[in-house]
Amino acid sequence: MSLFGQSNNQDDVCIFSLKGSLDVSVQKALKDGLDKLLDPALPDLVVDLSAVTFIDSACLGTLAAFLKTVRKAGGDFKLASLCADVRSIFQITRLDTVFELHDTVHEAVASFFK
Amino acid sequence: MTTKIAFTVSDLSDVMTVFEQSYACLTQHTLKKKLPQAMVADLKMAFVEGVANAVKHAGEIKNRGAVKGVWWLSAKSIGFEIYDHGKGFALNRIKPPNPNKLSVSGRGILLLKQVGDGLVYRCGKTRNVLRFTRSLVPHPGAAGLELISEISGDILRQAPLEEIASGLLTRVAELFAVERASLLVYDESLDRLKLVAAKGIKTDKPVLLRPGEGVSGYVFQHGKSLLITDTAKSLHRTKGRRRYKGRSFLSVPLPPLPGQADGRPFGVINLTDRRDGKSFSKKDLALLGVMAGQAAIALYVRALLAQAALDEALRRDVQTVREIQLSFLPSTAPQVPGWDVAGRCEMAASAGGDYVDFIAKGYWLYVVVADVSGHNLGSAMTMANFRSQLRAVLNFESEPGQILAWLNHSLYEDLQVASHFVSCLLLRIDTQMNRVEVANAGHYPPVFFSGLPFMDEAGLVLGIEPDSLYRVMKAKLSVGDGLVLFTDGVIEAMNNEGSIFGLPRLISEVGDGKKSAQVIVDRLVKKAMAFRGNLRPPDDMTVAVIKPLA
Repeated sequence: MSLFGQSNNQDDVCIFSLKGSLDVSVQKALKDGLDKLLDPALPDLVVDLSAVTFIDSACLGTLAAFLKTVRKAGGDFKLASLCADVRSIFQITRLDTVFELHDTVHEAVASFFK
Repeated sequence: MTTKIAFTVSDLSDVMTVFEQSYACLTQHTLKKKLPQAMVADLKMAFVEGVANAVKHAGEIKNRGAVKGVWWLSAKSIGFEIYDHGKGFALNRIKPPNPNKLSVSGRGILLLKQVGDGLVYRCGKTRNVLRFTRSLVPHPGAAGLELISEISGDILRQAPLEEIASGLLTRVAELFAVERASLLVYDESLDRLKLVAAKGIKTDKPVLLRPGEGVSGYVFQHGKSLLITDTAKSLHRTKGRRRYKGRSFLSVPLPPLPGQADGRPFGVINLTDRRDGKSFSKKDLALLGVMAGQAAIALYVRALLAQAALDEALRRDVQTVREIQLSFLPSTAPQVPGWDVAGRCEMAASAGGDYVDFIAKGYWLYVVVADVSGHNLGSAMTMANFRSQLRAVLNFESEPGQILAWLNHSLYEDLQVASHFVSCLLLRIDTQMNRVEVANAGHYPPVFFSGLPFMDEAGLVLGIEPDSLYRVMKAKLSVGDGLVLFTDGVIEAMNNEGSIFGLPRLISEVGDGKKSAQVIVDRLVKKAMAFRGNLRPPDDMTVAVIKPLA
């Protein structure tokens, strides 16, 4: 099962989705996929996490490292549509204070233009 | 009884499957009720982190081909042990990572600690053990909080007390797995504990208990919880024996609410007849105590909301009174041939005690300025009463002094009851002859435009003596002259430096008096309001001006 869903560009923001369980077994696939998605010319990204059921510390680390890379490139990486379980993991690790979490993809994209 | 299941993870990609299988195997025959979804998510999280820890830090898969361990489940807890053969580490030395550093690793142990109720890591000679425990017994505080969140909807929609109490009791009874439960609330007007919710107890008529009567009355009176492990032995003292068939009984007071000066409990909550037939424990008592605290808060919030709704109704009532009161006051200057007259009243509060009116009777024009003590709803009612009495007296009496005497006489009893008094200035103007007669009941005398006060002889304010008499003083006004009438709110308006507006300032604002009466009135009110500071509560302000034109 593929980890990454379709990606597309909207107003120069790259929108993509992840699905399934983001655990240590898919950490490498996640890292590789994210690296491929980052276009240094258009470094703003939004990920739709509505189909993600689980995330562990390994994949959290990967997402955190990716956020660091994106911000270095002058962009931002925002997360949208997290289910309650996944959102609580961001809260426990206090990563909700460094990632922007949005209720919907639309809201996340709009936040780039505020 | 504890169920145990061994597990092996030989590839990290299998970790989720191993969790699903172990969990299903462990729980399918032993658990009557499914664990909450959130708890299962936490267990999954902990398991993945525990296995990953053994793989990353001890190299279990690389060195030994698999991570091994055991799951267990008992009535009180669920958890697992994961074994590793690495160097080991000191759990308490691992600090939570700084989120801002966005580091790749270091969050596993933090997650394990956060989602469990116990995490132990022991380094042994042959192997190290990571032991994760999650309690299945609700934490007292958590149970209380859940209770609040569950019934908050009922509270916010201001459901009746009985409905909220019944919701509360149902949930408490479920949590403790009891057949019978009751909730009693103290009714101050009856001096009785009143049964507001019951489960498993049939009641045909209202249940009312005296403080001190029965177990509930005892708990209420002493404000102390009661745990009876064997009702057969203990209840003879409280005469409550016949009511309870179970052997164990738990009774806890609902703590007093803020503002309850005597510290009396809000009510009592009782539980009995555990479904498993066992006795209650001290832990149960502690848990019920916590829940009773939460229940009291919930009921208190409901009472506050009810009070807020009442306040809102009262605010609307006050607004209505204000509207009625404003309709009494002259909205436009009355048209009187040969005279220019105007009056204005600015109320400080939503309902005030000042009053100004012009009443024409033939060629006579009556001008009245009055001030009821206070400016609350009571003052407004007194003012309304004053107004209707004045109009009634004017139907049979025309002389100003007599009118005030009649008014005083008829208002005396009402004013005594309400602890109010009224200062009042009544002028009768002969609009053809330009003659003014003034009767004064303890009010500031009118002032001529020139600054001279009208020489009057003020009688007592209305409402002090039943038979006060009021003398009438007369004067003739010529064109270019006029009178200003006002209440103390104008002349005594105080700024933040402690100076009062005063008569000289009032006279200087009147100027030569050539402007229209309305302009002068508006100017005086505006100036006095601008002068007034904010150190003292504002008073009503009333001004009236009369001047002959020919």
